Amino acid sequence: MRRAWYWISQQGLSTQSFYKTSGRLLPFITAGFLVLFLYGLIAGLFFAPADYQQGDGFRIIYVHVPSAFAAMAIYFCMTICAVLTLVWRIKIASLCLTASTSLGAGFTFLALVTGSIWGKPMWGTWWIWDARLTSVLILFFIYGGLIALQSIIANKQHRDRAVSLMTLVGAINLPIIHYSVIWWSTLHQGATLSLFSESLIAPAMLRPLLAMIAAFMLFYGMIVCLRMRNTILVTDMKTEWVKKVLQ
Amino acid sequence: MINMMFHGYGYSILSAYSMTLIVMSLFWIVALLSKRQATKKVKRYLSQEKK
Repeated sequence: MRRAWYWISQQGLSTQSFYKTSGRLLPFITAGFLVLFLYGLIAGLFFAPADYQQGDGFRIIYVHVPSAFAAMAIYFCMTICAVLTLVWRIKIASLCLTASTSLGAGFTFLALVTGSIWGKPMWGTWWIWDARLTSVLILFFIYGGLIALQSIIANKQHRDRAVSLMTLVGAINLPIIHYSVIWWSTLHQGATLSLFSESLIAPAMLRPLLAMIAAFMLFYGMIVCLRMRNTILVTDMKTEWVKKVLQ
Repeated sequence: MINMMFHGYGYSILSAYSMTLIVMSLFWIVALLSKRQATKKVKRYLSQEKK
């Protein structure tokens, strides 16, 4: 068992095998993203019925919820990568962690901005110090801190360890964001989607939303793969396999 | 649809969607540009090594 794990961590999760496997998967991820994104965009804007209270204004849900979902899902992935980096020192986990931070920050920014744009006509204000909004803003600051940490530590090993530790510390914010609408009385509505109970949204509105969430996650996968492949190509340029790949 | 876009909540919808599209395409463009840069860098190194 120990030997098998050693082989997986050294060979199966090596940069070379990641480069080859991701190269094969990338066209499918890109195609999946484009199909789902276009479906979600067209169905959400043109075919989903208008909400009985918010009218057409609710259509912002198709960019706001996927952005917020991606912001949290990316941080969750980063937490797993941080554990893999700290405990088993798996190289591609630290690469994934580094490649994910700015994407996570981007999606958190989108969630905050689109939420604000949605909040103005519905709540009458761009911003309120509500538990959900504030905890997502803290997530954005955590992403900012991680990006800063990556750029100020020159030594790669120290940097990976520091970023992993800070990621683990910041993970405490994930349950706070998720349960903020339950624990505190907030202006922000409760969860629209739930794994364990029936969804509160009509199926005609739900399908484009699920498609957009999947599209955003595929987009994350696509960009992270591209970034990791670029880093691997440069860091491993003195190895034989890179020479073979480029020749 | 066009009527919806330029009346009532239309501007909010337009700005939210365009912001999302701009941020996502920026990420994509930067990733593709850095791929090009990385390939160039490695090819330059390999050609120098041959000399």
